[in-house]
Amino acid sequence: MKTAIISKNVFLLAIIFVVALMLRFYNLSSVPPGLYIDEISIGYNAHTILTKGVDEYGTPYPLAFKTFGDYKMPVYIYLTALSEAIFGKNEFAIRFPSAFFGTVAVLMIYFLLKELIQLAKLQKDSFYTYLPVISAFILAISPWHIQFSRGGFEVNVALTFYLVALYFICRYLNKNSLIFLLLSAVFFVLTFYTYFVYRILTPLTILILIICLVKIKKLTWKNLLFFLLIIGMLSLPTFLFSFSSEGMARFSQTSLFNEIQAKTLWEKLYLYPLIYLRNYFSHFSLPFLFVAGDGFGRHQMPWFGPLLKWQLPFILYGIFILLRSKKNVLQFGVIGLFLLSPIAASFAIPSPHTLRDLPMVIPLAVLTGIGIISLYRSGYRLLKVFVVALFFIGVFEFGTYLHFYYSHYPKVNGLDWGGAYKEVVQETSIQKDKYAAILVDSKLSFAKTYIHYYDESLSPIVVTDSWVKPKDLEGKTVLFIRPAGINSAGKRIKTIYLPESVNNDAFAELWEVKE
Amino acid sequence: MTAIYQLWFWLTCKQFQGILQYSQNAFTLHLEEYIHNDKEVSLLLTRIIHNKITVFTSDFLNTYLRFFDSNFLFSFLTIVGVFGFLLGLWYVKEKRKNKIYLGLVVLVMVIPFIEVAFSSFLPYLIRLLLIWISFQSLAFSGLTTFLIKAGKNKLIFFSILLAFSFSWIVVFADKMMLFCIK
Repeated sequence: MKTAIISKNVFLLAIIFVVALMLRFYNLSSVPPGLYIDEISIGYNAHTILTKGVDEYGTPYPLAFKTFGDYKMPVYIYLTALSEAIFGKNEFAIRFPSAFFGTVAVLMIYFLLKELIQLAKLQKDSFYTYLPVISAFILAISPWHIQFSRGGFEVNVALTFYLVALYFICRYLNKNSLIFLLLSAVFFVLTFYTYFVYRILTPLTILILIICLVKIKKLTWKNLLFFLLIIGMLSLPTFLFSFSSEGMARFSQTSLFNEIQAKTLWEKLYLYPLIYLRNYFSHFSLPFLFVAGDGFGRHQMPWFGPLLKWQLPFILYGIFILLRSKKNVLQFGVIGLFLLSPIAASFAIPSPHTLRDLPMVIPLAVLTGIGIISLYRSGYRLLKVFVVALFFIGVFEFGTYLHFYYSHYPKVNGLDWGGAYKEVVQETSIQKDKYAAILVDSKLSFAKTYIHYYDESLSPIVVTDSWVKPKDLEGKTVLFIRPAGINSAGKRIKTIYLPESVNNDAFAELWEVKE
Repeated sequence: MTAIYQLWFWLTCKQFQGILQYSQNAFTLHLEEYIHNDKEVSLLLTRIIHNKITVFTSDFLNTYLRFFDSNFLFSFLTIVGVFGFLLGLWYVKEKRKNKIYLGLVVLVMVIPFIEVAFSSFLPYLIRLLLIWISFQSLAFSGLTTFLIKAGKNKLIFFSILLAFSFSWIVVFADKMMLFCIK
């Protein structure tokens, strides 16, 4: 019987894995449409690392990559370098690490829950037999997770590392083998090098784990020192960097302390906690989760929240059931992660923020699973019918989501994903030999970076309205790239449109300028 | 006191903002936008996914869920009220109080439908009072149960929340304007 259940779970997991793979890899290069500026920056730096061993500024194998006034963590860029070595310099290679690790996360939630259930000694309770596989399925089809698995988002890779670290901690507790503690430490450290949010979330998680494990005597002082030593040694470079002026650059830009200028100590003492509280609770807001997300076009589709509405009753009931159950490790882990996830994200503005709060997708998937199982097993036929009805509504809603994602999203949100910069560069490459120089209007803020990525042979000059033609270009014809709708002296030779716009929205124009 | 102050503030409003009401115009615009963006998609698929039922359901639910926006709840109930609200939801799990809290929770879930669907049929004052009474009842019940067996620590915690509530009203007065037309 037990063997049959395990075989059934493995079979179901295999199907879920295939579903997750398809949802994350299908048409990955084209949807989302185009690479946004951070992806381009990642791709370009990965290319220079691969070919020359330096970043775009010439620094050899850096531990932080300078980009647009702040710094990116290195792991995703090195992963992309590996990906470009295999797949070449293209959109697929840039997005591959996120899609791959996003698929792995679906497996990890299954294995993590299996370990947690074993730790809580609930494996004989039939309620928990299918919870890991249902939670894995919910994560596989979660719009929140799919959105960030299909773009070059470091946060998604960091989430997988975080799950792996938690899995190994649970494995250590179940098997009492030091190797798992070591692996857990390594993966926790990897999160530091992957995304900024984990510089707060991971230490908090480790602190809570240590306090609990020492209290219940599951972690000896010797093992604790070993664990902290590994983490300390491996994370020292990034922590030293974090407290430098370069490391603080990103935090300074997005810190909640910028929102209200508190001058006196008294003002700071009561204003900052208030703003933080407001930010923290905004991550539990139902419109944020189910209606519109954080409003950024890259983080979710305009017509959907990070979660689908059919999940709401199950999540609410799952919270109710979990809080009502006897205190155990599973309850502590799920509710703990649910409450912990927005802590780091709440230090920054704007809040709520779907990207920084991505870790919350994990406990929400588990809570949905608990809600589904509880309602279905409640013994009331009406509730069983309700679950089945919601299942069909969920299928329809998910189908609608996929339709919007593949059909509407590329047409409507092209500007969020790099606009038509690629097409601009492609056209410029065709035209380049006819002109003495290529000028780019500074209003096309990121054109130079896109040009570097898509055609390194082009050497554009970025010009502002006050630019004066130098003597060596006098009398020569130049190619001038400007945003659409701005008249220029010269002859308009090409208008570049947003690739899939239904309204034929113009993005940029190429002008031939003689004087 | 904070509840009375909040009610006084909301009484000075003329209406709730449009985002808390279902709009026929928005429905029409959404439907047209979705169909317009479905160029090169099969007609059957467009009709299945973008029709009056699906768009109406989606718009209606979206509007309803805005009553559970954190900014709205903090503006309507203040911090201490939201704490009581959450406690009220928590106490549903306690068997002894189950029916009372369950009833209040059902009321809280149902009453916002009145604002969403019947805003043009009922005066603002009645709609406001219905929502205020239902939400505040749950909040008050939760707080009362919490404080009945309150020790010294709970009272200190409650006092801190009250202080934050007053600060919230002062600092984030503009957040109320997201949901209120003066």
